[in-house]
Amino acid sequence: MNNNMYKIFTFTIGFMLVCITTDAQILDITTGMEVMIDEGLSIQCFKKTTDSVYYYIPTHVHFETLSNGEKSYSILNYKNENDQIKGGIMHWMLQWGLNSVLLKEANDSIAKYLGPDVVLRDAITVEWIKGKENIEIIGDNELGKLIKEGLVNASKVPLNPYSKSAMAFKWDAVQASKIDQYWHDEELMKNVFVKMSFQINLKNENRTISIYEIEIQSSLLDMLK
Amino acid sequence: MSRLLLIIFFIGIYSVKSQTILMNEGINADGLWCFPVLDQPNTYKYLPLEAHLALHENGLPQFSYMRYILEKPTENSMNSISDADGGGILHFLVLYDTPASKVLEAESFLKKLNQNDSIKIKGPIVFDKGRYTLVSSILTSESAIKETKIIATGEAPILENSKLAFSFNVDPIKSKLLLESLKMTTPDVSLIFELGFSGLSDSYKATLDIDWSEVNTSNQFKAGGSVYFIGADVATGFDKFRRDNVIKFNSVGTDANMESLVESVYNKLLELMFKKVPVEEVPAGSRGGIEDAIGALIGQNGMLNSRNSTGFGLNVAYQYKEHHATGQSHLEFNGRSKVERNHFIAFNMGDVYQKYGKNQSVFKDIPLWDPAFQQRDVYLSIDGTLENEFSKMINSVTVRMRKIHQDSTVTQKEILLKKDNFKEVAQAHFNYLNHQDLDTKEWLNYEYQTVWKFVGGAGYQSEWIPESAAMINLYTPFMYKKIELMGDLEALKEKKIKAISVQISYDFFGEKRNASKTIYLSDHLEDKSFEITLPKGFEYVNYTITWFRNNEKALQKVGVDSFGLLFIDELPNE
Repeated sequence: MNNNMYKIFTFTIGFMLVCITTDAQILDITTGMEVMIDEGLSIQCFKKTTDSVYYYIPTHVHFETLSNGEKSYSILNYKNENDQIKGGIMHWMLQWGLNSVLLKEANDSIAKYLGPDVVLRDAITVEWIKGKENIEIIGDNELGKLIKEGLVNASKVPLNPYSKSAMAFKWDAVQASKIDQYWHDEELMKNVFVKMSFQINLKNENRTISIYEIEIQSSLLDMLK
Repeated sequence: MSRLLLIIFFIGIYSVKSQTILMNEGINADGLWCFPVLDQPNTYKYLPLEAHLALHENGLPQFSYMRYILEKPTENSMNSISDADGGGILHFLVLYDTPASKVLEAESFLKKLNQNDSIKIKGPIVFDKGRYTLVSSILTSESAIKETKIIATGEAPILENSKLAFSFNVDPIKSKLLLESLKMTTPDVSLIFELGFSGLSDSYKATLDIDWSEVNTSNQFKAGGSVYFIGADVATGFDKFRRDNVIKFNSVGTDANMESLVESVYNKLLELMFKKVPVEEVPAGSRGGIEDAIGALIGQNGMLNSRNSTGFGLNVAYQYKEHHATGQSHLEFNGRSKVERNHFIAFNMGDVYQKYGKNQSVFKDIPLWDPAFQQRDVYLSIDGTLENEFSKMINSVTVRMRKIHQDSTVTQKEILLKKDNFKEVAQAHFNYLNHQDLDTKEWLNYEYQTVWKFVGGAGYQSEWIPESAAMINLYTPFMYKKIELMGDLEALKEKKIKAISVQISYDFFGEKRNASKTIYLSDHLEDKSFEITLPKGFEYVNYTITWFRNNEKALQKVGVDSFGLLFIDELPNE
């Protein structure tokens, strides 16, 4: 890892909605640390005031990677007897968080600078934001509009890292033909995002606890790399 | 008035069960989320890890996808090849569990982490509630066959290893689409289990002293003369009370315990000092500020970094209660809070086709052709002239169909046609089933019989007529015949014939019928023909011609004609 680094930073993600809660890992906002992983992925971590175990806030929306290395999504356009597209369906399996390899890389980086006793354990405990429990598609270009129009059903944002969520889409002949055309257009793909929202609890400097809203998103182009 | 109020709160006292977990101390142990169990040192429980198809003892998945093909009548088509009917039935059982190896790995992880070989993972967490969501554009779309109830969400089992069964019936197009989707690496069939579980927060113990005189003299909740506040301002006010020692808050325990306590304390203060009021019930004159404040909190650019807001709800306002007490209240907090969480387990059909696509006990296409379920329909084709005959010759026609099956049973049915039901019955048809008729060619053979009742009383019953066609042609069993009289009337005059009498007789289905004509020499013969009705195939008519002469004995000739032509100028020898 050539570019690994960390830094203490002032935590400014999202915006604070509410203050005071009762449970969860109450991490100290003043312990915020950013770690860059080899692949250019940046994660932000916090720990409790009194120990040396860090937890990262949600990051890295991605397609599940199957055992054969393929991204877990499918697009199926079906045709009529004249070989014309009659409609299409798409299915996604989505996750967020660091896999064991990335987690190990992050730990190696932290250990290098902070010592072997400091570890990055896992993701911070997250909760849904009321009204934002569902995965969102962001993007107003042609591809983004079609994906939003085609959404048939989806599960909620998963609350544990590497838990999976599914989304199913369906299009008519015209829409499916356009999807067929746009799906490999990098300009369109990089401006359509899959977004998940969470809230987390962090302890402030004055020892009150605030709820922070976290939004993470990845472009389709990045997700397919 | 001075008073001392002592209240002891046991906030959120939770019934401690043997499997109560400590929610705040959960740890991801090598991929498996584990939680320590309250009052059971070194004991953990885990969250089930994965969902998959249930398996038979032989290792095959409890999954079947059967596509069936039905014969369908072809309508208005000139094509000899048309689309058959059918569909697909998908059935599978899913469960969630955790591989034993993952539990062992997690246990090793925890032992190593805590440097404690006594740590045990006791078993899975039992969920409080569970729901599943089916995610599929094929199985949940409107194109699924109407009769099938597609349940997109429902209750899920709360115990690990409990099976959940699903069954779907899809139309022919969707059955093909589903099959093709199952061939892909990420088929369009996913299930998400959303499983709720609960545990305890950290314990906390604290005291809170409120000086009501200070509360009343502070201007914290009198800004602008309004008595309505939003949660953010309430929390800010509470924070200021703490800073100003209007309320004194003492806790015992770690930072974490105190943090867990704060919301309970603030909630209790909220109960004591405020009344919750829905925003829409706030008087209009006071609402503007409330709505603006809420808008500022939740708006697109609602940066709240500098404001503390309570989690008491953003769609409500809080009405400040006027307090006149001047004494102190002492509150004690002691207990734990029940904490609820959700766990997700997702399942996708994955590579089931790659693994079992060629296994007929898992994937199968079947033609639904079974002779036992076949039915033969035999239609009536009625000759167009028959309707007219109902007004002239026919009272009724009974058509009987008889099928002697290969198991010796007999199916016999009949249809009665009459003048008043002719048009309706003409659309009717016979049918018979397959009674062990294993020889399908022979199964097509049947017999029919017609029974005719004619005006005047005659009747006709045909023999049983063997047939194999799907149509019985029904036509009249009789025919009209014209018998013309020919001869040279001038020659008869020379032979002193005054008149001729022609009598005919014939059989009409067992009824003897007669007709006669008298011809005078001044008549026109073309007006003297007979028109009779004969059974089809029966051409012969008996005739008797009598010539009447002037002052002489009449001459007579008897014969049988089959040509419809009688010569009246051929006198017999005397």
